[in-house]
Amino acid sequence: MRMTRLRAFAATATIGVGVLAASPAFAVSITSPPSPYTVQNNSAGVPQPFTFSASGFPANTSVYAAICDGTSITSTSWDPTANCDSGTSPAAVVSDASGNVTFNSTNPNFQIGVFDGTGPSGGFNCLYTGQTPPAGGLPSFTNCQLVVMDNAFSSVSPNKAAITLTLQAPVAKTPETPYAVALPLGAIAILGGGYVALRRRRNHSAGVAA
Amino acid sequence: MRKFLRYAGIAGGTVALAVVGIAGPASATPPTGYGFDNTPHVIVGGGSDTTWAAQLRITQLWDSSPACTSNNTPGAGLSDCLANANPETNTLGNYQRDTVSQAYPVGSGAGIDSLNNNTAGDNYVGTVNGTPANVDFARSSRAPKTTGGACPGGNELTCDTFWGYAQDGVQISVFNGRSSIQSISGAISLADIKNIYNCTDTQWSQVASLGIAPGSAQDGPIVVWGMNSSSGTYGTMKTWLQNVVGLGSTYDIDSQACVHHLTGSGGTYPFENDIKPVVNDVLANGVAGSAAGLSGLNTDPSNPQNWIWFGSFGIASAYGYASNYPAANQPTTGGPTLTTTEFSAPINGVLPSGSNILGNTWTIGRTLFHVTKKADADCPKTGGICDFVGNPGPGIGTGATACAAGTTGALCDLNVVGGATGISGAVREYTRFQCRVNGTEQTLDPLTGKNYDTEITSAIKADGFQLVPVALRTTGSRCNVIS
Repeated sequence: MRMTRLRAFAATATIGVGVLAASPAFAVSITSPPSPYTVQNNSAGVPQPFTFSASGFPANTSVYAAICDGTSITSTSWDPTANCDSGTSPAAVVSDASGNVTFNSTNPNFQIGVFDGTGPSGGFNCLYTGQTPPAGGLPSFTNCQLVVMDNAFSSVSPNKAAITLTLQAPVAKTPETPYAVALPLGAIAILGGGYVALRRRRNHSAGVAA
Repeated sequence: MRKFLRYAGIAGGTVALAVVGIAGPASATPPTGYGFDNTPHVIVGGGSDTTWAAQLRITQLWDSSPACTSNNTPGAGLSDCLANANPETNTLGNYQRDTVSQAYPVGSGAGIDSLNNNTAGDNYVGTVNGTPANVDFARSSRAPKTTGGACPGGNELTCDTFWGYAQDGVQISVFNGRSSIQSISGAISLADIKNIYNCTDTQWSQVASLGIAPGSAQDGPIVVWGMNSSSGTYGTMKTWLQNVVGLGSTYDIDSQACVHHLTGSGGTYPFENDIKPVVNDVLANGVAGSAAGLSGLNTDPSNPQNWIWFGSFGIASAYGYASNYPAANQPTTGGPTLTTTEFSAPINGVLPSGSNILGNTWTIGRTLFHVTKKADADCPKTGGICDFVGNPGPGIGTGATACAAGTTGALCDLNVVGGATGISGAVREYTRFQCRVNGTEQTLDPLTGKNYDTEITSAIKADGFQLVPVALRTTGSRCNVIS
């Protein structure tokens, strides 16, 4: 967090517009994982929640997280009520005395509702590269974001940060051969192999005798 | 204002012609199949405190939505719709330029009572229609009551239709350092909640699922705050305590000996969703006989860490100043000050969230309702069941789809049955606006260029609420319609 503030101050000083204090907008950052983050799928190809941490919030404050579309959170038109799917939000995490939060994916209360396709509130689609958008005409993004913020209900708070999420295509799995097919085929192969071996042995024996 | 009128004129003239096409009679008449009579009316809703702000936002959207071309010449009929192209076409907005407003809250039950003139002498001061005046529609944060409700005979569904447009959860609230219980697995158990709310447990160390050692820094007296019993939040919590926690059908929160009301304010119970009146009362009067002012001592009932309350998860989340009262902003008279911050308490180890409220798995989930008299706005029915799909509304746009009243269109509008003119028709159309199924049935906001479906969603989310869960929606509508 100290480094973040230093960087923010340096940036402000470099711009040289006479701003004496670092803007709070630069104070919050997602410290883990780095951006972009590739969301892992389970064996069924479903995106899985992941642990993430952020710093720079006021102490003892409820911090919210949500999956949002690809609109930059610094855009003047960005609005969490329009650009984020609040149905993906886990319970708020209360920041510690240093302003840090961790949404631990092992705790069901704090699992982010990452999704592939249309979000639970039906406002937009998050897709992997090359994915065909679902029917319905909703806006689609391959650069959906994880946003952490201390106000998920208006864009007024500068205390927010985002990382870009990369979704993965579900891995095509080679279908297993059903037993109903494999067992008879195996039996045929064994019997056939035995027959061939028997024929060879007989032929070999006949040849030696000759 | 002038800019808006210009937009409205454009909307009435251009957008209407482009978007909607409904056959009308030979002379200029209001759009067919709707509740418009080409004259603006004033209608007022009232009741719920929790849903007040969200309804104000939706009302603002409706009031400024595309309207008819109006008479802007000072004199008689100012703001009436002018006879325009025949047949007249609906703008899918506030066509006849009604004024819809939201009266100051009194609680859901009281609002429904006013709507139905259920109590002799009902007069919701601040409303305009009726003698004496009462609301034209109600706001409710609780479900309809089929017995003991605010309607003659007790079954509110014989009088009214409940249009659920958003979803919320009631949270149990703890304060300041008690937020540490959020990480305790399995806390607070239903058995413990039962013992808190029937006054069996009076010390935090008695709450078994919290594992607090007697006399430790986390121990202290449990201070249970009550609430205005007309509120829908109170009704939802009471019903949950009765049915889920197992306190029984006669249980009442405010009647419990351990439940606190305000000392000032005539000893009334506080309104929900704002901790400032509670804190101010303790600053001035103390609580349970303690000295005036807040306290940091763990044994003092005036220490917010010892308090437990309940309220809207959405409002507590969205309005930080209602759930976090900085010491610097508190009046200093009456004793020491202390910042008071409200947090969600877990129930059986689960915290409320946007995810579990939208998913309808939060244990105290609730739908938020716009309530109308059946004569004003009701769903069309097949076999006594709401059936929007089988009973489509008027046609929208140009197309061959067969819709209501012999109209055709590219698609059919949501069918809301009810008043054809006047105040009744105005209620009907404000209702339809909130419950159209999606953006295909809505038009664009001429001020923002956004579809009203999107803007209604944002208005709901801005108050911390969620959309109605898909499983609860009435097919063909975004609302959960209970009739």
